[in-house]
Parts: sequence; C-alpha cells; structure tokens
Amino acid sequence: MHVLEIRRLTKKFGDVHAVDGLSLSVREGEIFGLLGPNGAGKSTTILMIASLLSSTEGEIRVFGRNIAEHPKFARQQIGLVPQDLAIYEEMTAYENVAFFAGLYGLRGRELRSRAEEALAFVGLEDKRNRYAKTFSGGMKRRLNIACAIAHRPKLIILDEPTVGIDPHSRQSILSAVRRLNEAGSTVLYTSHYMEEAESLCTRIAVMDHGKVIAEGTLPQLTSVVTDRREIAVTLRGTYRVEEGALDGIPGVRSVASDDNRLLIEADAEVNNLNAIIRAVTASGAEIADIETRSPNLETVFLALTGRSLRDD
Amino acid sequence: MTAERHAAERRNIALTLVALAAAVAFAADAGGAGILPACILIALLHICLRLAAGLADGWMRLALLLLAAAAPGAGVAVHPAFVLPLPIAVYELSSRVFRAGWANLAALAVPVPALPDGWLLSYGIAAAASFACLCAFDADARRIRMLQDEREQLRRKLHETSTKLGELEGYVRQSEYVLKLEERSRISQQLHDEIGQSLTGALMQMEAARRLLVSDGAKAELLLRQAIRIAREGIDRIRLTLKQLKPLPEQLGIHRLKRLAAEFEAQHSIRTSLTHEGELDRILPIHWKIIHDNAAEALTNALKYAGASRIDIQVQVMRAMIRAVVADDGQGAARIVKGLGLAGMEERAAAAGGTVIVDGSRGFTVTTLLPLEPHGSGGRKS
Repeated sequence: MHVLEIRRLTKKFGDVHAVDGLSLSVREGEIFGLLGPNGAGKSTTILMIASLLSSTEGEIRVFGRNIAEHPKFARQQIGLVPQDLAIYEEMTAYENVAFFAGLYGLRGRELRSRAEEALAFVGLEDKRNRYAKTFSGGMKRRLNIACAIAHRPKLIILDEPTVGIDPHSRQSILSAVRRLNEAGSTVLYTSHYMEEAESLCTRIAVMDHGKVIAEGTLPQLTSVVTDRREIAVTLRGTYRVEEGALDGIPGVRSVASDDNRLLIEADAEVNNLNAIIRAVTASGAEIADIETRSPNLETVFLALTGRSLRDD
Repeated sequence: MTAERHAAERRNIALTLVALAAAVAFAADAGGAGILPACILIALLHICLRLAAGLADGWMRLALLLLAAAAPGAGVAVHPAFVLPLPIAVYELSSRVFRAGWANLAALAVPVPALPDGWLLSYGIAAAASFACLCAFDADARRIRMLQDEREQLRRKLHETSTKLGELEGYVRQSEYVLKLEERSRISQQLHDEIGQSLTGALMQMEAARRLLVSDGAKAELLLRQAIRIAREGIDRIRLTLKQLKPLPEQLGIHRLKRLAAEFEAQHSIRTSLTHEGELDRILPIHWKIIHDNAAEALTNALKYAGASRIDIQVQVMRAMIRAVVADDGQGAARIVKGLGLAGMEERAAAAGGTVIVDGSRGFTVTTLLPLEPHGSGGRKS
C-alpha cells in the first residue's frame, strides 16, 4: 500500500505555478528522496503534504485517505521536520519534545517515555535539561527531529535538514534517518545535495520548476541519460598500450588513447575494472592513475535541464 | 414523460398525507366517538379522488370537490374534510396554464367565494400548506426533467463519438492497406522496368553472340561487350532506384526543423542555430511533430517577448530520453506566467508521456523532455 500518493498537485501563487501538476507515490518502508535545485518547489510540496498549505488543484492521499477529507488522520501519521527550525529556544530540550508530543495527543506516562525515547534516538538525552537556545545549529536540528518523532509517525518528512549544518552533525542526522527507516518508518527526504540523495535514498524523484522530471532508483535515473561510464587510465611514462589489448573484455565499448591516457568507454553495469587493469599491466605498462566517471544525479539533472543542482 | 409521472405521483402522495392529516384533525375535533366515521369518510374521499385521477384530468376532481363544497349551501351536510384536497386540484389545473408561482397562488383564491362560511380558515391553511408542498415538488420534477434531458444528450453524443471513432479507425486501417498496396505496386513496377529491360536486352545480345561465336568471333565479341554494358547500366539503375526508395525518416525530421530555424532567421534577422546529438533515427515521427510544434511556439514567444539577439535549438537523444531545447539570450523572465502557448506545449508533450520545463533565469529556455524506450540490453522498466 502506498504511504503517500500525490496526483496532479498544483499550487499557484497569483499567476505563478510554484508546483505544477506534480505526481508521485511513496511506498511503505522506503526512503524517498525529492531532489531539486532551490526554487524547484520542494518545500511548497512538503507544506501541502503536511496540510500547512492548501493546494490549488490535485489530490494528496496518506494511507489511502484524502488529507482534505481526513485532516486529523493525516496529521497523526506524519511527523514533519521543517526546513526552518520549529523549536522554542526558551524551553529545554525535553520541554520542547514534550510540548510537541502533547500536541499530537500523547499524555502522562506515555508522553514522558516517548519523549525520552525520542531524545535518546537523536543523541540528546544527556542535554535534556539544557535550554534550546544554547544548542548549536546541528543540535537544534536534531532536537527538531526528536520533536517530530515522539508520536511515532509512520511517515517522517524531512525538508532539507542538512542545510548550513557542520559535517559532524550532518552525518549524525543522516544516520538518524537511516535508523528511523530501519525501525520501520517511511521517510520522505528533500534535498538539493546530490550526494545525500544518492547515499541515503531508495528511490528519488528529480524536481525542477514545480514538476517531477524523472523518478526511480539511482541506477534507473542514470540509465535514462546513458548506460555508459568512462574509465580514464593514466599510464606512467610514454608507454603505449597496443590496440586490441582490451578487446574481448566484456562491457568495453571503445578505447581511445590520448598521449599517456587510455580513455575507455564501458557499460555502467558491468564490473570490469579488474580485467582492464590486468590487460593493461600484462602488456607491460605501469598504471599511474585510474579514474572512473560514472553518471550521477548531478549528471542526470544537468543532462535533462542544462542546469546544475547547486546554484553556484 | 417520466418526470410528469413523478410529479403526478407526488401529488397523489400529497393527497394521501392531506387526507391523513384531516383524519387526525377532525377526529380530535369530534372527540373519541367521531374518529371512525371521520376516518372512513376521508378514506373514501381519497379513494374516489384517486379513481378520478385515473379516469380523467383534474377537471373531474375539481367538479366533484366543488360539488361537495357547494352542497352545504344547498342544505346538504357535508363534512369539512372535503375542503382539503381542493387546493391541490386547483393547483394542478392552474399550473397547466400558468408557470409563475404567484399566478397559481392567486388561482387558489378562486374557489373561496364558493365556499361556505366556517370553511374559510380550513381552506386557507390547506391552501397554504398544499401550495408550499406542490411548489417544492414541481421544482424537483423540473430538475429531474433537466437532468434526464442532459443525460439523453450526453448519451447521444457518446454514441455519435464512438461511431465516428469506429469509422475513423476503419478508414485509417483501409488507408494504410491501400497505401501499402499502392507503394508495393509502384516499387514492383519500377523494379520490373529496370530489371526487365536490362536483363532482356543483355540476354538478347548474349544469345546472338553465342550463335555467332564460331562463325563471326569479332561480331560475337562486340555483342558480348554490349551485353555487359547493358547489364552494368541496369545494375546501376537498380541501385539508384533502391537508394531512392529507402526512406530516411530521421533526415526528414531534422531537416524540417532546420528549415524552420533557417526561415525564422531569414524573416526576423535573429541568429538561429540548430545542433543535434545522439542517434536521431531513434526519434519517432510523433516525437518530431511535438519537437517541431513546440519549437515553432517557442520561437514565436521569443520573438514577442525576449528581445534576443540569438536563439539556439538543440535536439539531444539520450539513452531513454529525448531532450529538445529552444534557448534565447534575451531578457528572460523572473516570474513565468503560464499562458496558452506554454500550456499547449505541455499538453503536446504530455500526450507522449513527456513534460516541458520553462526557465527564465538566463535568457529564456524551453526544454521538452520526451521519454524513449531504451534499446538493446533488455531495458529495465522503472
């Protein structure tokens, strides 16, 4: 059953389409990535899923139920970690989590134990009595996550959780997301960082200008653009590998030589590096460097839109 | 017709309810002892009215009732319950004539002078209540009639459309078949002419040469040389014919686009270039149509709004996607308002499962993405 189903979702601000006929579905147990540059409409989409913004057109279903018709049910199933921090600086970490847990209907002993669990999950249990305003950016973000998971939602949505975060906290947030998924939650994760989407997500939807332009697993997405990868072997000295030395290696499409470099075009699927290295060294050459250039999400986005995911 | 029946049914229901209400009212009025006779009376009244309704129009009913109403004036003791169905009968008749509500209401006042004293209040109440109910029923009936009409219309339209679709499908199939036959016959005629002529000519020369081989060797050699020449010419002609016959659809597509770009540049003095990358012959004719129409639309838009000095058209065939871009170096657009042109482009692309992305950050770029079936390596389906 689909945890989340979005059909032809549209949001207009005046004349401008922030989200334009967007459709996607998230299956139970996966980490679904929504990848796109700034301004693509990711946050707007998230706000509509969390019922914090009304849609102009289209339908959103959570566990089969239309969120417009069953708003309370939908909110119970979702835990939102928004891009802008939603915590109270004047309260302690524990008070923050307890507050949000209370909003979701938890009470008494259940509230206390779940709040403790949530804090422990994000690694802030020893800071439970410290005021949130003393936290670093990364810790505030982790607290945000704790607030969103206290009521054990089945779908956790994180909207660009690692923007402006130090690398250590970033790793800890990513690992928290993985652990949440292993514990049984479905995760919807938006980002404009390709590496995060690639390493974290089961399936990814690539967004641009309010639309999904491609969707699938990482191999499926890269195979839209090409099924090749490039292997550049730099040789020491001016030794030339003879033509035909690499013929017969499965997956090798073409070989070109350029000064002391061999540029090999190979199938992305086939793992033939060992064979290539053996063939090159067998012919007497010494390898100085090997570089594999496989298509990644940045390549895919660039190929489809002509622009980069990052706006630098 | 069914709507009329509905209305009639509803009136009958109204009559029954009124009769029952009367029974209750008059029973209460007459005290315990009077209940049974009152009920029987009203039941009889109702049965008569229904029978009358079955037999004839409201006129008969009206006549009966007026008679009953006039009776007290003649000294006959008539139960006041008779007054109750009167408004309904009057309404039924007047609604045939008048459409407007107020006219019917006025019509209800008509029997008043004929009524005996003491009946006025009951009649007034009955009239008001009946009028309200009947107006509601009529509105309902009208709505039902309208919906039924609409449904009939839609059904007819659907039928027309399916017939037309069937005809068109048949026509397309026929045309395809006829075209195939025509093409085949043309090709066979052409080949026959080429091969027939050459082979026959060469054969004749060779036969003659064989006969003269012993007696006139020189002549025989001449004839053989001619035969070779004819055969060679024939082969060349066949090769040419076959080359002409082989269709080159991808060239057609890209050439049409090239022509579009060249004509645009010539007409509007804006440098328009076209580049392409990848295996163009994987692009199907339906894709070419979308690419061409979208490019034409994008060029028109660029002319109107961009103030550009150059426009670049690019067609790229990736493994599982075709990307067609029209980019200008004009003023771009901070906010993009989707007009009819853009919406049309999106619809065209969507018909082939694709989409259109419009970006105004650096000049104005319209990108049409059309998915392709990946060839070779048993494509994975996403």
